[in-house]
Amino acid sequence: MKYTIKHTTTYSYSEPVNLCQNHARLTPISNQYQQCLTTEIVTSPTVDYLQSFIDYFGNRVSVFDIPTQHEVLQVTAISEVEIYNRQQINMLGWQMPWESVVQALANPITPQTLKAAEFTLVSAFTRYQAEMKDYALQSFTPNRAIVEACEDLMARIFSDFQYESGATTISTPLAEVFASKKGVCQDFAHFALACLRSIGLAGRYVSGYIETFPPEGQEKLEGADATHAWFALYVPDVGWVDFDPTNNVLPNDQHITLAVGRDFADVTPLKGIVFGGGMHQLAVAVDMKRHE
Amino acid sequence: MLEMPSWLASYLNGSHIHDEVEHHCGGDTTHWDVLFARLANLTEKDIHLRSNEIKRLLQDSGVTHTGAQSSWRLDPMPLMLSECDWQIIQDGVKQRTQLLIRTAQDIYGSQQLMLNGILDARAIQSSPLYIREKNSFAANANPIFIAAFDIYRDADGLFKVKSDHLQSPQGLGLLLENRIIARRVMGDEFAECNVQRIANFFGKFQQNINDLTTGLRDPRVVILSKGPDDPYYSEHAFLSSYMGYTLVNSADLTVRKGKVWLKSLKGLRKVDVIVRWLADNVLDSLEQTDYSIDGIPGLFQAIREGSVHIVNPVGCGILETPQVKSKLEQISQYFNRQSLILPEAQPSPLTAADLDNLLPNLADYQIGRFSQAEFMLDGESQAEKIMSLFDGLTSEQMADYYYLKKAKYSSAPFWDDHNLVAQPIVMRCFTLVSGNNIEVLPSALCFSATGIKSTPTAGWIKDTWIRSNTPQTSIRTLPKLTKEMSDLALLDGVIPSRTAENLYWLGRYLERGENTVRMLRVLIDRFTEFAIYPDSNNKAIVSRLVEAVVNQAVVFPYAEQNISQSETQSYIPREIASQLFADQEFSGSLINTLKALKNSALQVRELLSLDSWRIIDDINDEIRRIAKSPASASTRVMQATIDRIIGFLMAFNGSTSDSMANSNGWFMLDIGRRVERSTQIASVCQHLLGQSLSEIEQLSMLEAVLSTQVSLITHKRRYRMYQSTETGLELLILDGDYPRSLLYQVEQLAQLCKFLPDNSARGMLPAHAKLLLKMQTQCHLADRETLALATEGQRIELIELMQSVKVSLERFGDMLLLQYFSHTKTATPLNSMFGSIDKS
Repeated sequence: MKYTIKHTTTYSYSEPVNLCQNHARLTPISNQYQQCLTTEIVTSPTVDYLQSFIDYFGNRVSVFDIPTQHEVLQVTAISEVEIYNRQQINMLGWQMPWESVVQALANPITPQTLKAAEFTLVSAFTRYQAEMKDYALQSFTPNRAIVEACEDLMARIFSDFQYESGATTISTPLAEVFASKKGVCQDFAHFALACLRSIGLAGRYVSGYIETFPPEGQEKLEGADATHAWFALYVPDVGWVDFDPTNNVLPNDQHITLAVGRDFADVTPLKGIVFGGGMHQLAVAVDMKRHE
Repeated sequence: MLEMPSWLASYLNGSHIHDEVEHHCGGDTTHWDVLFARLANLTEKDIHLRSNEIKRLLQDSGVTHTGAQSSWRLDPMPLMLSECDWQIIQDGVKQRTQLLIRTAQDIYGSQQLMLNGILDARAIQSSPLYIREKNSFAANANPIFIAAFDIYRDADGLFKVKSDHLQSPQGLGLLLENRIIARRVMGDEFAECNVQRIANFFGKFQQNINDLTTGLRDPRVVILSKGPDDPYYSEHAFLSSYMGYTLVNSADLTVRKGKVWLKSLKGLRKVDVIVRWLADNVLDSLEQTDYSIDGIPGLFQAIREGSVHIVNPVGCGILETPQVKSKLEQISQYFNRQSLILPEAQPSPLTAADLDNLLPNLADYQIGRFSQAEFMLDGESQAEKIMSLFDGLTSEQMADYYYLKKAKYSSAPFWDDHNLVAQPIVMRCFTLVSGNNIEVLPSALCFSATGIKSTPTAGWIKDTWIRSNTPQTSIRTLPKLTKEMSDLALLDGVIPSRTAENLYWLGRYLERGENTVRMLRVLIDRFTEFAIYPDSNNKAIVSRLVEAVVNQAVVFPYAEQNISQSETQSYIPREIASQLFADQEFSGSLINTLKALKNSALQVRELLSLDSWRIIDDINDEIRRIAKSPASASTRVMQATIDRIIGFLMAFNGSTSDSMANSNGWFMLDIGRRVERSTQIASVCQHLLGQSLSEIEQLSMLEAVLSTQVSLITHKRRYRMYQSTETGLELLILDGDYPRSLLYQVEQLAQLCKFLPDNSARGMLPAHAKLLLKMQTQCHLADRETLALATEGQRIELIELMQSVKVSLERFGDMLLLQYFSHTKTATPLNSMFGSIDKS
């Protein structure tokens, strides 16, 4: 399956900006589940410097400067991505009791587990408390198979939490999300990560896109698709297994991964430093086209 | 044994448990004996004189002047180390440097230490000093360029390491300066003891920097400091002028198109090497997670592009953390199957079981945290804090804490103004790395280590002398303090815009200080005269002067106030004078101006010569004195103080004018000075001469005005026969040949502005030059009769001309700021964190 994704970010400033320097994580990652075939970043005004590098977590970061005075900045990333069907081959790994995974991560002896062990550590957006650990342990019962336990956790988050746009902002603490049981995909992913990490498992944050369909009888609107977020669990010998608690599914061919990290802070799609500018407003539009 | 003078004998005969002058290195103390043999000739008074001489030299050099923290105090008696002791230390720090390099390469490379369980992976990965961004940098750079180690001699006589300094190995400049001073004061002893020289180390430092930039034509090296807030700022300034590198703070640098640039008055200049005195996690405010005001946005991209070298390289901070330090012995065994030559006290992780044993002997321990390298509580002085901390700890949290038996530092004699006293000491040693070669500085910064910051002996330091059995033939000799001669400093002639701006303000404050003093003098003269001759003429003059001062019309901020005679009666002139002198609420007061003057001088610290700096130090003393003086200080005290201050200001002007080279931005100081003086002349003429008075009053007022402008005598000489407001105005405003006239200032400004880089189109006058031309023309076209002509008591022409000049001057100042300094403003972070996920 191939998709073309157009992700447009628009900043409007109250005062002119003389110079801005940016880092964008807007190029979909390439891994065993997907391949980014082509990618392009277009800005208005145009850049005078554009380079990219691969960060610690494997994401491509575009670095660019905009030297022209402007009041509106538009950054558009257009990528073509091919998604492979996720074959659920290594059922043996899936059956591993979760406690033995915790054990392996606590004393990493292979480079892979050492890398994964980093994702057991608490991060700014995934601070957990005793209640979250209790919540996690209800799914992670003794000796339960790791993937099955995690599916259960995902299902419980899906049913216990209410999706409510605007109920939270990025700075809402996780404890508050847990108390109100309301939030958006980002909160659910962070909450699930806090649960996993509270019991010593490795979880990573995944930002990406999900294809949406217009209500029946209506035409799909340009820019109506959305940025999305979910989480992945580390399973030895298998690798990272994705879970989408917002939709209670194991992502397959409708989820496109943009970037991965310990939490949202590692995958911020666009960050920058501006000289001037005053107040700003932000608008994001995503458009996903399935190639027939 | 020689007969020792009593000051020395009483120390040597005292009972010291663990002292450097006693029996270490197998009881051999010959290295001290040579020194003592020399010192035996000195009386108590001699040693006291030397101690004072050192104080003076240190203060002059400015290293003691740190603003923030208590100052350093260099002891006249050096610490002596024998060759055999030194050999151990030297081998030990070499071994340690090598090991740290290897460890850094492993942590940021194949991570064998973590995979083999020697380093705790969890602890490393959760440290804020584990710099993940380094992952995308080229791996070829040596992870350490320069390192510093704090070493002490334990109770068993063994040398041990207390701490490692890699992110900012402070103290190198201080050590160099100590040596220069110690050699000057203790020159004979120095020669006699055959002390190992240190100049080669600094030569090597520069050589290694040059090696980084091989193939570059005219590479630019900068020293990056946090700025005057850093307690070591003076040291950074000292090193920068010693090495000839430009001293910058992060606001002076910018990254454009993957390269680092210095924002200079002449535009952007590429930077090739940054010697940084900043921590790893605050270097790049764009790329690193925590936004820091000290960071340079985009710096990491420039490193990634290979367009800039940064020393020490990013990432060495992890080596300073307790989780690495406490494992170095095992790391040494793992890599080299060797023990550490310089071991260190091993921290033990805190457990509930230990707690009971620990509490009764708390005073012997220190409590630290694995996750925070700086966290350290002293079991003796901070026992209560520790107890309350322990109360709240869960066993899970406890794992982050460790305890450490306190080391027993050896002591050394320090001169405390009366006696020699024993103080525990720590030595900071330095190493330089180039390729496979590790160079050890053959000396150390020895400082008193009481463990408690607020003790009076904090900041006591010594030079360390290592005896050599071979004669010292150093090719390079330590130069004299480079700035003894002149205010030169910026060797490559590129001046950061921020420095230029500070020079401009320094000029303004200097002139403002002078004006305020003169105004204060005239005010005091007049009201004390009135007390003796209370006639109505005098009274009117005094009340006019008081009015103009109270309204801040003739002192900063040179307000536009209409003088209304009626309200003045209620002011007591002496109180107003005292306000102008010492009231910090009064914006134009002398104390405020001097404070601003000191601060801008501090910002251009590295440009000032020793002589100039000494004067700033004197002014600082006066500030303290004024601040402490009671509001009811007598006029006599006030007069004495302002006499001294004007002396300092004149001396500073003299000291700088000799060495002003326009190529390095000193013209900015002169521009500031002329702008301030013009503003002041215009204000005084407008407010004190704008009204026509009775003839006798008028002459008296003219005399007062001329005194504030130091023009009374010139005026009397030039207009012997007939003196009037006309002649006064002619001299003060219109005479382009008279160095204190307004027109002269404006013409000088026009000349000085030619040094500014010209960005305007060919054949066009830049905007600031147009303003100057306007003022020049206005002055040239005016004539004294018209200016002095009064209508209903008001000299309308004069007032209007002066107002117009002041408006032009203000716009001129703003324009300079906008055109030449505007890129000194700071950036703000922006990220798409807010609202980027609007739906899912």
